[in-house]
Amino acid sequence: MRSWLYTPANTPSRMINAPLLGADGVVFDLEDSISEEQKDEARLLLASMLPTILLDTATVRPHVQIAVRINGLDTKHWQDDLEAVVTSGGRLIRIPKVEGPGDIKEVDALLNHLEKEGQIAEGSVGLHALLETPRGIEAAFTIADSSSRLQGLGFGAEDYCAALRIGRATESSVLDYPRTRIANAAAAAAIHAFDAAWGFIEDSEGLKAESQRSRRLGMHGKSAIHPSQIAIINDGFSFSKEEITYAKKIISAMEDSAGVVSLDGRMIDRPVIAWARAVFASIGEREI
Amino acid sequence: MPRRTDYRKLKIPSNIAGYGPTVAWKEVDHYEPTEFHLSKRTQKHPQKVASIQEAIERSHLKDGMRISFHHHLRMGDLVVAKVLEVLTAMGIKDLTLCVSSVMGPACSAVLDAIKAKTVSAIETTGLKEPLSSAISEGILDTPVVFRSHGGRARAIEMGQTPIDVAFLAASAIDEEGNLYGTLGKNLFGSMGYAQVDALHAQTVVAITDAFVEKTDQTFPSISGEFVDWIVTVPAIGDASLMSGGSLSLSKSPTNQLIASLAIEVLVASGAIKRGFNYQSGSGGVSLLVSTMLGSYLKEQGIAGGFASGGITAALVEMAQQRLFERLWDVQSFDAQSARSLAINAFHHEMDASMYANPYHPNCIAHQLDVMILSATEVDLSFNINSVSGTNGRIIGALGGAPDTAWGSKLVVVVIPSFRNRIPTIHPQVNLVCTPGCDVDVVVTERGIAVNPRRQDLMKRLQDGGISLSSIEDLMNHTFQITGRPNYPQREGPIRAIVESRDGAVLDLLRGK
Repeated sequence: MRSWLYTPANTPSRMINAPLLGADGVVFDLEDSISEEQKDEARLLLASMLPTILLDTATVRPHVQIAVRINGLDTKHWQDDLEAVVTSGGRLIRIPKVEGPGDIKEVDALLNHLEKEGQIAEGSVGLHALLETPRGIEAAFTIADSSSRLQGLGFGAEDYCAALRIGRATESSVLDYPRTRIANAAAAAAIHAFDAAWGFIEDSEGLKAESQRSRRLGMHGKSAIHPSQIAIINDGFSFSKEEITYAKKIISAMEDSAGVVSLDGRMIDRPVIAWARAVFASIGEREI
Repeated sequence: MPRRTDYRKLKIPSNIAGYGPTVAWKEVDHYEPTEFHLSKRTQKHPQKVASIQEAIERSHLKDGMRISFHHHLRMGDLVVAKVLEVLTAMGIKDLTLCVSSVMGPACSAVLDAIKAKTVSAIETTGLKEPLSSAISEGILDTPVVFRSHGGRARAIEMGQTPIDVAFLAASAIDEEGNLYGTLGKNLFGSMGYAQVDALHAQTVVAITDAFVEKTDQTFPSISGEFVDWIVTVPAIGDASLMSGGSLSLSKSPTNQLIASLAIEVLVASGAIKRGFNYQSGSGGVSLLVSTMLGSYLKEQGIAGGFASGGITAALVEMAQQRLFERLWDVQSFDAQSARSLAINAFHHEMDASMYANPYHPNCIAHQLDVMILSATEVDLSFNINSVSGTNGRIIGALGGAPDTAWGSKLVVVVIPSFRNRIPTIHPQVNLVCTPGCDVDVVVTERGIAVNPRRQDLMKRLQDGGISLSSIEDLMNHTFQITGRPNYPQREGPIRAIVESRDGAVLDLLRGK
């Protein structure tokens, strides 16, 4: 999952077509892009549209995942958001500003209740935890390891920068640390790691550079706030033609040999094979 | 590839009040070229007169005659309004308006002229609000006749619709009475639609806001030998407003997606090859396809033959980069293309007859390899409606769609699967404007459907990795999102007639 397109949950015309625009996932947002006065309206709209969007997506873009970012646990909205999303068919929730495993457990408890009440398979609602504060970053692994519902950790750069009292610049090495920490925690828990959105919509070169850097730091994908960012992100987080060719050679060499093999002077052992399989898995995800 | 015969059965009356006897539409495999496109008029000696009123008086324009206008100034036209205002003040009644299209401020002016009984009938390729609502509500006693650009040229040349007086806006006129669209302060480029009127109208009144010295730098669009009276007005319009309306380049991500899918279809079809001839209609997605096609041609180092029809700045830039060898321009869509017509050797003006008259021996529309069309609706037989909405309200125009769809080897309709929650694919369109037998592919953001009669194309696209749906699946899937429309029953009076390009009656638009 390379790209996640954020779409405010208050614009039906954008919402209905968002899954078609090339992102691997779409996040309908009930949090930051919705003003306080519109929270109830957006929740109702999303609940009424979500079954249609899920059906449409399953038909025309079956590989695209649909998530909903609910409001933070420090607001009065999050329980209503969660209930509305789950009962209308949503199966992937993004929780903002997670700071510790306790937050996940609180959401987990309500999900258990909603699944039971709605006769929904236990544990079928997945979670993404957004780590947006220094405290959240420090707790990355305990969060990632706190629930079997966790499918990914995401980074929120704007709030993180604000907490550190630094501006979000187009180039900022200070963000390497939280990214690396999140990537490592996600890998340790065998879940995905997603980078923060790039807020400078006109600066496609900056987005390209940041995507490449994030990938090198171990992130699997990145959020987008505009459809024009999707192709750049997908490209930045895709395996290159050379990598795919090399992975094919590795798999082929393995199939032709019973034991340990070498390829182009390099020993092909278990981690290398795992990497090659990961390359194929990532391609297969999108070619279903 | 044999042409297809799929078309819904229509009950066309043998005679329609205010129109006359009808000829039922049937599919045509071949149009025999004829010579009647040549004017039989004798040479004239244009004279300047002091006012529009004097020109009208000297034209001997009477009640019940037919007058014509062109719409090259599009949203910026003021000539239609000025002339109709004078005609109304002079008390002339019951005129038939034969126009290449009615747009922008001309729509209100025509409506006022209808209310004043100055105009009682309209023949056009399209019209817009507020005129369109008034037509739908029955303001005219006779049905509006919609003709394609090629159909209009044919009808004028054949004498089906003889023009008594043509009022032709020119951005400049020289001392010999030659008319230009490429000089002056309100230059609008090609005068392709007006050229047919000039050649065949009984009297030609030319209206301009700029006199220029005769120049060898630019060819006139219409020779002075076809002009009777010349009038100067303070302004023929505002050419800066030309490129509004359906010519804005869409920034919608959905439209960009549709355009990119259309490019994939074109590439997989094998149509994009050296020397291919191309046209796209107006409409946001069609124009986007041209822009994306330019990038593709550049990347692949492919040079097309000609691009034709309405010419845009994007097409001019592509020709400048030698991505197309020639531009055939019947209408310049913006200031850059209007200026280009005057200075670029690759940029040629063509009249509406050469563009799309089915009987023209060198009909450009018949030489197309690729045509991109927009539509208001499509149906399961691939029929296209480009004039009315699902509710029967007139919102668009025929333009050159029926002509180019007949003529082009590959016809691709680009259309979102719904607009404002109204689906665009239906069991039957509200009004057939281009018969489905001339349409090959429908591209929406949710899927691509190929006319089943084009099995050859279907195979090529599938071999090229294009995922296809049936048109029925596209429609039904969209209905799952929008709901199935409750179609209005329209069995009331005939409000408009759509003529096929050869003059048969293709469909009827009825009121409530």
